[in-house]
Amino acid sequence: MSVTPAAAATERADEREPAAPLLSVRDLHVSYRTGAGPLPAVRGVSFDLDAGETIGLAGESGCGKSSLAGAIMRLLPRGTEVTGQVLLDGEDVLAMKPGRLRAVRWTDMAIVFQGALHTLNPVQRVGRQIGEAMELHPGEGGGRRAPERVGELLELVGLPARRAADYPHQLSGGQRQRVLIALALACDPRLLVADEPTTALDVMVQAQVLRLLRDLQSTFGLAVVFITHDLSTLAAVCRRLAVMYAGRIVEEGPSRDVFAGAAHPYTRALAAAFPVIGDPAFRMRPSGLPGDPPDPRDLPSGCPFHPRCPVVRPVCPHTAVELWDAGPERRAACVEVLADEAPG
Amino acid sequence: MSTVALPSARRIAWRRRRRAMRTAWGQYRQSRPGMVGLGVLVAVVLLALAAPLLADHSGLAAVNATSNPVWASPADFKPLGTDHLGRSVWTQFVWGSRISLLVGLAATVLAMVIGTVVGVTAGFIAGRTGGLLMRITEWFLVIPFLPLALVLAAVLGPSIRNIILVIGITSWPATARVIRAQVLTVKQRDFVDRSRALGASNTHVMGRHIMPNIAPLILANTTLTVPIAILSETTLSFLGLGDPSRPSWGKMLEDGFSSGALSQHAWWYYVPPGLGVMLVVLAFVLCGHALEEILDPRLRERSS
Amino acid sequence: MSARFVTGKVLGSLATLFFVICFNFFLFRVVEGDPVASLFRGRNLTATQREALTKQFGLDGSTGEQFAHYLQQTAHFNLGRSYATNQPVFSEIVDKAGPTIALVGISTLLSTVFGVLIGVVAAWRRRTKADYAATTFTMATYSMPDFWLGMLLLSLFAVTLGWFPVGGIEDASSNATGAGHVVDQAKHLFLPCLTLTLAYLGEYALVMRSSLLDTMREDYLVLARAKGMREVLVRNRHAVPNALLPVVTLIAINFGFVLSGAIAVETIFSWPGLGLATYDALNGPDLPMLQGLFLVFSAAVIACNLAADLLYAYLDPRVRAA
Repeated sequence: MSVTPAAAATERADEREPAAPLLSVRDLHVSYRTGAGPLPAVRGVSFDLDAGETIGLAGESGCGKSSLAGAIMRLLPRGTEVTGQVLLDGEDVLAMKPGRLRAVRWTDMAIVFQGALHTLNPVQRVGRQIGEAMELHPGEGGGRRAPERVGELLELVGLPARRAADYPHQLSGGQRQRVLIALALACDPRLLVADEPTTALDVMVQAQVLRLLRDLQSTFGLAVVFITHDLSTLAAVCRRLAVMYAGRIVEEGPSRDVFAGAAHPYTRALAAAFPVIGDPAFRMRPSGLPGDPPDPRDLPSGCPFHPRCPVVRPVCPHTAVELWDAGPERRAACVEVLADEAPG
Repeated sequence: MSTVALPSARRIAWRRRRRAMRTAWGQYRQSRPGMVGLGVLVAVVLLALAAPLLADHSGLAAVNATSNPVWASPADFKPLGTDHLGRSVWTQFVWGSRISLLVGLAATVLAMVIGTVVGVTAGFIAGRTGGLLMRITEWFLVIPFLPLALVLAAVLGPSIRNIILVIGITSWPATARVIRAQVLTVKQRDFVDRSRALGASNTHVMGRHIMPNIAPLILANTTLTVPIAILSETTLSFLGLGDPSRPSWGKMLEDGFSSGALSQHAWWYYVPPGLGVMLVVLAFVLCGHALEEILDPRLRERSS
Repeated sequence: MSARFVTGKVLGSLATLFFVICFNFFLFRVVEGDPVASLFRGRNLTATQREALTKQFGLDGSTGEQFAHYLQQTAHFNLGRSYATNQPVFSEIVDKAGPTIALVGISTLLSTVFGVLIGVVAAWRRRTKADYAATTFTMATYSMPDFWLGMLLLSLFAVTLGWFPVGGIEDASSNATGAGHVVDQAKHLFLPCLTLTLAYLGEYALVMRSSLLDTMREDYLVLARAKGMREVLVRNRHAVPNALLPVVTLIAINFGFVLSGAIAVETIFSWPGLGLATYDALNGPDLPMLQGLFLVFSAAVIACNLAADLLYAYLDPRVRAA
């Protein structure tokens, strides 16, 4: 189960063979158990991802994207209700036995978290933590000796190999993020889930990390699910993108096309807050979208976005919206696409 | 000039505080251990207050007990038997509860007052005075409690007042340290800076901003200091440094031990006082934990 | 750990020790104006007797002179002579230190191991019956006066059931040597050790539980699971070591305090250690003994605090950086 070289991955994408997708999420629902009753965070998300393909998941806090990431890797707290299917190469991750799940974790799919101080064990050196991943899966990663491979991985992400002896608190935020990326690649996964990997970084470092992710993705032909609330960062890494709102996907399509002309009013609002990288003043400007994301336990009727929608129509509170076709490879959950065929 | 009388800022603040206290009480009621602890405490306090009704004070004097059988078990002498001098154990237990509780509470008040004053001063007036105060506090914490208490008690002489003094003097450093840490945290918060920018004096900041923010901590700390004080009194009395003329649960244990209650199998003499201490301490601990959970919401979600 | 860090801590401890030595002097002299009178309270002394005693205890001369004299003697480990036995206080303390260290050492070891285990189980299975049982048990033992627990155990196992001796460190009448002697001492050690173990177990368990519950919310545990680690390993390799940090320092600090806290327990079991010596000295009152014991107890606390600081710095790299 080692990496497909870049060439093979591109080749596969070029052929557009209807091969089975690497990751297929089917009607995923995630509901947390809380003292005040169940909290539905993801309400029926489906998408496919081929090997070597990239998809970005964007949305505000609370839209369910991090829950989605957790669900794919089955890392949500005990007692959380997860229904649907997450097919990794045809095998349902949600139905795997614990032993199989542990074997598949990190070797087939890995996750990159936000590099906050406590994402890594504060009393262990980072090299040790990377090495641990390899110890857990002997036989993966080419069989080289652990310290060598750790050094290789660190250099791959742009850090000097001697950083392996550092503790997490001795690294900067950007360096920690790189360590997490190196860690994720330790066992040559085919799928990488990146959950807000650049959110806590400042703009310049963000650009560097995005560039790194893009390069690694093309070198190793990784399939990437990139999760963020910052739409602009997706353009750098992902060919496709999906926008989430209130636990569902409300628009999806090729990133370039969606940026050029969004079909869903929410996407438009997110894109309008598109900051110019390198211009700190832009970030201070208000995003222009009034109101707050809806309470998952008390969603508005019909289209959940209608209370905040700038182009809301009388029919919106009464229409059960679905993802309708909105052009080549594009879908959007807005009545607008039913009216006019071409994306606005 | 408005025709409607608006409530003053102070009235609003108090209204808010009352509401906060009601909410806190509502939350406290939900904690079963907290309510059990509170119940036990209320029961014990009632017992102590009702002492004159429950047992005759004169029964404490040995001279009045000469007609009683010695070492009588509860079966022979209701309700809790007699000791080596024939005195009723029940009388000692009931009247002893007063001393144990009184000393525990008074010593705690003393420790809290000193600890709060030192802690607030050290935290508020940082710099050399603050540093010096903290140095003294840290140093006091190094002195082991029991030897210091024993020596002080031995030198000062056995009396209720001295025991309270001794326990209070040895307990304040822990409180001071905790309070100082909290004062430092509060001091760094934005609203203090803003208040100063508006020209607030030190007393104003101390009284209106710092104190209300550390008041809950003081309360929580008190509930956890009282049991320690009670345990200390019990130990000191057991070692012979209590007031010989007053009964206390610790004194009962001392009398029991030195008069050979163990070899007499006179469990009714040494089990009840220890059990009493244990229940009171446990009750305070339960209340203290329930209070902590209310004050620090992280604790609440952590235990769920 | 840098040498500068260690030296700094050691010097700090020595400074504290020095202050304790000075405090020790003044505590016994200055609190009560006439130490001889207060010590022999209740006994009638003639003027000559009082003068002789004052001289004998080196209480003549100005306070300054006495202080200098005292410092000089302390520096040579001369802590005076016991009033009761007239032996050097220092050697008395050395003799009696052994039993106390044995008792406190073994019980600390046991209460640590069991306390941590109980705390881990309680936290890992929070809100289950195991957690409730463990928490109730530990809160109960924490609330008991330790010597009362000793009395209960003594009356049940020694007096009533006769399984263990009633007191002392060994059977004075037996001539057992070697292994037999050790077994005899062990039998005498059992009940006081059990008492101290149960008494301190609760605190360690509660702190460990609390610390582990905090640690369990950390993100790096999720990352460890994501790497494909089994739950047990996640707990043992990541959660517990991090959660142990505050417990370790607590244990180290407690050790210093328990040394002097065992006074009441030693009294109950007539265990011939420093605690019992303190009790006897109190009833004397044996001033030099008390003074010497006070110094030794304080020094033990200072040493244990230092050990705790260094240990924590060794275990937690974040502290070393500060």
